[in-house]
Amino acid sequence: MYYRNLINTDSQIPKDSIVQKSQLKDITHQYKFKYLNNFLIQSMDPHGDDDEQVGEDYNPEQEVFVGEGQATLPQLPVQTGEENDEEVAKFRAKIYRFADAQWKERGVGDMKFLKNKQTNKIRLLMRQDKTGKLIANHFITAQEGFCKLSQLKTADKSWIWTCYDASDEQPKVWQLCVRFISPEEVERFKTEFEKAYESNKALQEEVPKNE
Amino acid sequence: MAQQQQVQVAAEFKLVVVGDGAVGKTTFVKRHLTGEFEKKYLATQGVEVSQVIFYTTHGPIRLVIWDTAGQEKLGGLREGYYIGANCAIIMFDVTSRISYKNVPKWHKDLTRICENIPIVLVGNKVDSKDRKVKARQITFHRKVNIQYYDVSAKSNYQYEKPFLYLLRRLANDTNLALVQAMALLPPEIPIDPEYAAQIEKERQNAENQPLPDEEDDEFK
Repeated sequence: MYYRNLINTDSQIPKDSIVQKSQLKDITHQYKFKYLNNFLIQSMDPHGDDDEQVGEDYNPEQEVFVGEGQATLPQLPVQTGEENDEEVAKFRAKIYRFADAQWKERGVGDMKFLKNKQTNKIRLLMRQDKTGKLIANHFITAQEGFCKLSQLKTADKSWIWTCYDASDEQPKVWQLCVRFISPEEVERFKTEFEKAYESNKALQEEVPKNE
Repeated sequence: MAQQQQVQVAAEFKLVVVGDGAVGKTTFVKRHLTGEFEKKYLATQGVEVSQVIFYTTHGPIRLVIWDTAGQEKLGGLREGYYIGANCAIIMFDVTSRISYKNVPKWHKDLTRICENIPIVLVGNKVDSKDRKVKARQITFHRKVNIQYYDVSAKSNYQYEKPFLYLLRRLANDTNLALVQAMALLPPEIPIDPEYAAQIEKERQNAENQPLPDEEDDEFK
């Protein structure tokens, strides 16, 4: 008990400083007072040595904000990057990435298939709940080895595929796995994904003809 | 085509994360970095530095996170890592009384180097049924006027709150909020048949690996 009080109070004395005699007297007085005070509180407190005297409705998370005056960073308009996109499909999902020879959680959020209004190309975009951070961002490209769905042998209600994903600052080839709650969503995802794949494939084949 | 999409940030700040060993500092940081939840305990040696961008109403803000060793024998430069920090997280584990008792020591060491920086105290592992440090016992932060939050790196309970609070303090605006990240059109790359074959092999391997949390279905 007394030791704890020492810890709480000794922040007033810089570690290596020379303490004046008069100061020392003050500090000693504070110790005595605190010790007595805490002793009284503790002897009345049925909850033991850790409980402070706080009310029943005590909320330790009550916000403290010590700032005042002008903001040091100005407010800026928000750009999502989806301004030229049209939503084709949307799913509630959990996504994983294959890294260091194991599946690792990437995040939970809304997964969207977005069609670009200029090119008609469809991408898969997903943001993490609460933080809004990107956790998947890639075109559903018709390339050998890419964007072919297969099922995980170890879990139901999931699909895996390979893609060149740009949700991190550094884009990289990743194997992704998506998991759903209901079997209906698993099927709907497959349908929409394959539709997007075929649509992007058709666009790709169109290009040489136009040139 | 495969160049890095360097994000233009509005500001960059250094954040130090301190607290006893095994309270979950590295796991909490990793959760924000990649989304993964690391179950294995591997004590941090010295410090691990990483960067996370938060997208806010005040532009993208980069936090350079200095995740320091909690174990005394692996402390490395210790307070040396605190130099130049703009904000800090002090973490303890609500299932470990001693980790809460050591909070004043971490706070004292920190404020000796960094005077007057925004600090948030975080009680981790609140998903545990074995909680030892109850809400009404968490009072230290009020004596030193810093913010407190319950979090769980495992269940993601309030996992964004400590960052949001620090960002508000750093921008000096209580109205700062997190927003949807800017999603530029992703680049594409050509693939040769050899690489496609390699991808196919990797996919077959991945197909046989288990998901880390197959039993939890709570993401409605």
